[in-house]
Amino acid sequence: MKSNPFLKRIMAISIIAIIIWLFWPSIPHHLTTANEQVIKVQEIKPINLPAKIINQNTPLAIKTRTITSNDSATLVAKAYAAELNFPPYSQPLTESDFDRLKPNHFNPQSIPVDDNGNVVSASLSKYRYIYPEPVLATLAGENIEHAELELVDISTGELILTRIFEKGDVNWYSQFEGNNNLPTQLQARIKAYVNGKNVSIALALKYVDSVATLESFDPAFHQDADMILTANLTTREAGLYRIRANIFDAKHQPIAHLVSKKKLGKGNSHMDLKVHQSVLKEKKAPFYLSTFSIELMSPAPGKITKYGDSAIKEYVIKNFSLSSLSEIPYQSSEQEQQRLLLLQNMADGR
Amino acid sequence: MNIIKSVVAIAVLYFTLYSMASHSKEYKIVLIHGFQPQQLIVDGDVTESGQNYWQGYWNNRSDARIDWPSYERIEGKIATDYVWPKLKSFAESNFCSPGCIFVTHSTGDLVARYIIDNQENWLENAGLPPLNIVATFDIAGAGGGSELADLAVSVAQATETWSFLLEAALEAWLGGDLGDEMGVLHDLKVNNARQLAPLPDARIPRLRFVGDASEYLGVTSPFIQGNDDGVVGTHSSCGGNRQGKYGSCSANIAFNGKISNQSNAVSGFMPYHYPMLMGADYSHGSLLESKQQGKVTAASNQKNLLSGESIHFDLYTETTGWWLWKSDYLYVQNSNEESMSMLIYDALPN
Repeated sequence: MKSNPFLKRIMAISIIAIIIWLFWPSIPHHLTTANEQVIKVQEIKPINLPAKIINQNTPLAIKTRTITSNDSATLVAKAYAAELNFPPYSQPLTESDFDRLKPNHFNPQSIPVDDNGNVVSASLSKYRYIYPEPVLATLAGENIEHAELELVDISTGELILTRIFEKGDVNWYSQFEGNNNLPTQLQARIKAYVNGKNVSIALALKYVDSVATLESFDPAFHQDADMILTANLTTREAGLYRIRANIFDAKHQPIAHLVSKKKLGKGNSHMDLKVHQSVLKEKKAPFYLSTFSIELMSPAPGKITKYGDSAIKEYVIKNFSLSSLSEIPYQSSEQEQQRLLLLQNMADGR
Repeated sequence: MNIIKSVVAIAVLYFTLYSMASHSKEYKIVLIHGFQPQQLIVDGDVTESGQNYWQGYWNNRSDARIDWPSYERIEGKIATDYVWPKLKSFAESNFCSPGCIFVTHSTGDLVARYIIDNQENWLENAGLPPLNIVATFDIAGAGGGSELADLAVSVAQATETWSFLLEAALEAWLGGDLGDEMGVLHDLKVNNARQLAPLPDARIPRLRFVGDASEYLGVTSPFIQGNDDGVVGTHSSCGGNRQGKYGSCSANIAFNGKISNQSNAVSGFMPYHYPMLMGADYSHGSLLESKQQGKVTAASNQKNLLSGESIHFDLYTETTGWWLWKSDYLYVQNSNEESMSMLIYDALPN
């Protein structure tokens, strides 16, 4: 091979060609398939929409040269259309739906104590407390010498109570008992003495008296395409109530987020939560109902939302036959169709 | 002479109608502005401030505005004295009967969510029909709160601050020292914001437009979780359902349009919140203006919106770099000429 000049030339030319090919600059160009098809997992059912605009057979591809934000709108329109397959009172729930699974979550807060990246962090065990629940505060950080918690009425600046933080194995803890007459605008002001400095963190919270109690559920029954769960409540104020709950399958995997609204009087009341057949397909019983939230909605501007509590943590739904539910699909409302129409029009660039 | 007069009159009428038509859309556009820090320092005329807030682009393209003062609370006087008179007037005049689109900026996102959750009940209790709100366009949405508000309120509780960087960040954002009245800053705290009307029943699509640059030379960014626009983090502006350190609204598109897996993308969204467009070079304020700041990319993708539903779409894709350094970028066409606000307005159906 060493002695063959022809082979040497061929080798040299090949190497040069490969190098040129590898390092040849790519020219900016327009592609027409930025996102390839992905595997179809969920069937999107056709829904009842105005014939002129909503054509399920319309190709989703957009003319490349005329787009502005239309492509994004196409995806949004499809996503919204998919959500309209389910009724508003029974929306699919997944593990990523944090706000519906942990509706009373408190996000910890930090504040720097110097410019070297050192912080102290504080949190409460939850955001909204219902009397007589105790409020538990946690403080974390290095070189905390002592700390105290002050409960303050933001609107007047009045100091309601003060508690000392106790040092635990790792963090510092403090707690206080509330009462049923605390102001609506509260703040837990934490004052920590860190490295000889006074550091403050202001934590927002609500402490309220319950306006209604969820006492129990009647056994589930079917009505057309819905499983009906009648909630029994004791209400202490009349008004428009909203109940929320999550339903889970036999393995405690989330199935759906349920919502119901009804005007209730004072005393013993009932409200139905409905689970639509569309979210129950291929789900295994027993089903579990939990994460209850009871709201007395604001009746007028300036009147705040009030909250209730639940005497039960979980309700188990046994012996319900899914086959008793009819297969009737949910028909979206006229307003929902108009909203979808807007998104479709944006997608079409009209 | 009469012929000339007639021709001139017709021409004037034609141009008047033409200019009106160029700014008329199928739906009524209602603007809701955001937090105005200067109002915490010096009270000003609320209407004038509202007009100035939007004068860069949107004011002449809207049909109405809901103006409110930053020194009040959303559930308090903002609701009673500023939001309610507008809602009542809209209902009495059937203003929203063709459909209203709320264009919100920053804290306007939170105000809109509070309106969406309550307007139907408030108006019905007042004997008026509910408003037909078709969608909201949320620009730099602060519905998930801002860590800067947490810090500002905490710092205001203390007699001194121990971090020069924190002081500089708050000075840059607020433009001065706070007095006792912090008004809507309390609502903008992350925990308060995420608990204010968090899950409205009305299924109104909330389209998100998000920036990733800072108008404060980056001094505020270290105090905001995840990528940010100088005031709010991606967890809020994308419509994320929890506070977190997120790098993009999309699981497969970066803020700068690069098509690549985004391991720290927002993992779950608030109900009916859909990210639409992202701009790496747009800051919190510049998203509202008519000046183009850089190319814009789509913020929607299959993974976070469509639960695996089959879909494909075409977008303007640009390839840069050589060989191993080759990257694909996804851009919205015209975004190299038009500002984010222009793209949003263009997307509205005529």
